[in-house]
Amino acid sequence: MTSLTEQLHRAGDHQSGEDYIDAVKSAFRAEIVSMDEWVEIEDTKYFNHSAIPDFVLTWRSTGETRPFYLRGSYESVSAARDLENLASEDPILVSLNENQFGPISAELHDQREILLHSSTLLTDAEAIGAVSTHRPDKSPLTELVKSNFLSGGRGLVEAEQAAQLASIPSSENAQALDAAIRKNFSSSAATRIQRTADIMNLALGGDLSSLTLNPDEPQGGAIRGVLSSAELKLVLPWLLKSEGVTREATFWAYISEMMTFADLVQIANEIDDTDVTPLIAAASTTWRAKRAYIGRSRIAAYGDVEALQGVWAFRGNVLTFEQGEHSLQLSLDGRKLKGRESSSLPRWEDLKQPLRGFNMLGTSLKGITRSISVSSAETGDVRDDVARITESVDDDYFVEEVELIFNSPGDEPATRASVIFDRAVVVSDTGTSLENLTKSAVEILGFRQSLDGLGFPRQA
Amino acid sequence: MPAEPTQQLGRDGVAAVKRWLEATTYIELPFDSYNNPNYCTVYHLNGNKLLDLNGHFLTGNKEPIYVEGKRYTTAASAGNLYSQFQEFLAVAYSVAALQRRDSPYPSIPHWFWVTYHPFKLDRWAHMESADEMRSSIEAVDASKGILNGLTIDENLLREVAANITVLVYNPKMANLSMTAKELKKVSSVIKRKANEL
Repeated sequence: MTSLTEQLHRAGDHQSGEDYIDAVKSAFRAEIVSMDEWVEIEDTKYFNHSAIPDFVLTWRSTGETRPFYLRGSYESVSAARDLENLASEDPILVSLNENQFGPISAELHDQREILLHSSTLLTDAEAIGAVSTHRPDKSPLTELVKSNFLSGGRGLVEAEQAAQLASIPSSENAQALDAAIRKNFSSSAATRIQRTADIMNLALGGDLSSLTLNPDEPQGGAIRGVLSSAELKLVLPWLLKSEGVTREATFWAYISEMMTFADLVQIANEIDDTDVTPLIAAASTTWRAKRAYIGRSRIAAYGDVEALQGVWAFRGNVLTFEQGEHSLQLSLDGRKLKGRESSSLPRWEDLKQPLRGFNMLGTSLKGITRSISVSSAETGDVRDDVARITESVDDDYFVEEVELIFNSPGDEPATRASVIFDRAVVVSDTGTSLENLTKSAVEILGFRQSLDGLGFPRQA
Repeated sequence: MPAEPTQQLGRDGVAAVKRWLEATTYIELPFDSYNNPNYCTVYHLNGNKLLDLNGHFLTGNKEPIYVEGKRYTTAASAGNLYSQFQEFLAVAYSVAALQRRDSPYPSIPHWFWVTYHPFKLDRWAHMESADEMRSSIEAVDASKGILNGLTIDENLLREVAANITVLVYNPKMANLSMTAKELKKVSSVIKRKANEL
């Protein structure tokens, strides 16, 4: 893989100026894409124009755009007073030469002052190469520095500073890290990067008491908010796969608050077949899903003795817990868990005991001579009504479906789920907590089997 | 080997002239003698010359442009200026003559001479004429052999002379040219690059 600077030197071998420009721009386009997979690049077809940028970079997720200018050298930037003329729109100015006729000119040193207070990023090809270098030991922190460099980088970043930024360890003294990051990143990028550093430090044995601090208090506690897809994609696999990461519930609850179950499903490919139990356990009452299904475990179905057991893990986009012969699956998507044809409907009599732990909103019963649906508009329990009806009419009643209702914490509205026996699936179209879905599947759907310990340990 | 980058105009002078010409929206000048000497060098019948800027028109046939800038502050260097201008004209012709040797229809670039001060006022009104070019070629051939034995082709002479432009740059133009922000807006509307494939 030739480096960016090598490609630029070779570009100079072209006879025609047009070919040179094409070669330089392709090299940069490839480099930009390798640093930041979310950016869209528009080629303006201009090169080194005094006013029109070479590229316009756009980030769809934030709607931000940033002009990207190629310049012959730092001296040219100085001579053309680019820092003053181009300051609006916080441009990226890239010198093709790291330094041309000697060390950085005195004029450029004076312009460092201007740079300190602006959001312009002034850098060079060698520095960009240093930031974007592929590292085998990818730390989420250095990857975040790389991916935020173009969108959030600011100030003067020459090769030496770039190399430092690109290899910054998260364990670096918090103040030093903060200073280094804030000097060369916009405040929103700096906060994101700082948050990842905090997460990494907490994960590896930092003081978790800061997590219980009120964010409004002077000490502030840990940085919260919402983790973006980009950050999740970098941090979560690291958290779930790295050695030495804590399994403390407080830590994982903190993480789960910054994301949703849908976010986790989106990055399922990155964490396939990895133990996600600490996260799921911490989020069991707050995250919601829409489908639960009990099927056969891979050991039972294929004799796959390597398969993970006793832990939550993703197989494809479906969250799965396998134990013995059974597999519990949770999903957001009805298309992933259709259930299966199951001819054995339970008798009402047999469900009475398992239903004790639930609030039943309604049910559909099928007898030999007649069918009955019982439901309640309010949250009242219909079990007594059902008992009376089944006792009064002489028939054998099998349960097709049971609708359950669950209380939510605080003022949130109650959630519902339907256990559908002939498809062997629990369905909640509006969503209910992972815990509720699991409980419904294990205790109602799977009442015949002994499924203790499948999913979450049974509450006493 | 190309000559040393011209010290006279300086980097800031080159940058100022580039900005001024690009702000017309008709011209793009990507290359300069400091950063891209190879693309700013032209080859003539008896050697080569380094120009300050190289680029092209954004309209019409997108013809190439070479720009040479001169800035002088003392009378002494002003005296030199006219002989440098003559050399500029002679080089323009000699470059075309060299290309004509190799191809029947060479594309003749445009040659811009940008000076901070007018000079040679007794000939000023005729600087771009074929006559001026002819007498310059003769003078430079006598001292530097710019024709390398060839004779002047009158048709070619007229074609090259037609592509000479002499401009006077006043640094105050920097405040009378559109800002980068304005130019960006304007360029998206007038779309000079629209026909680029």
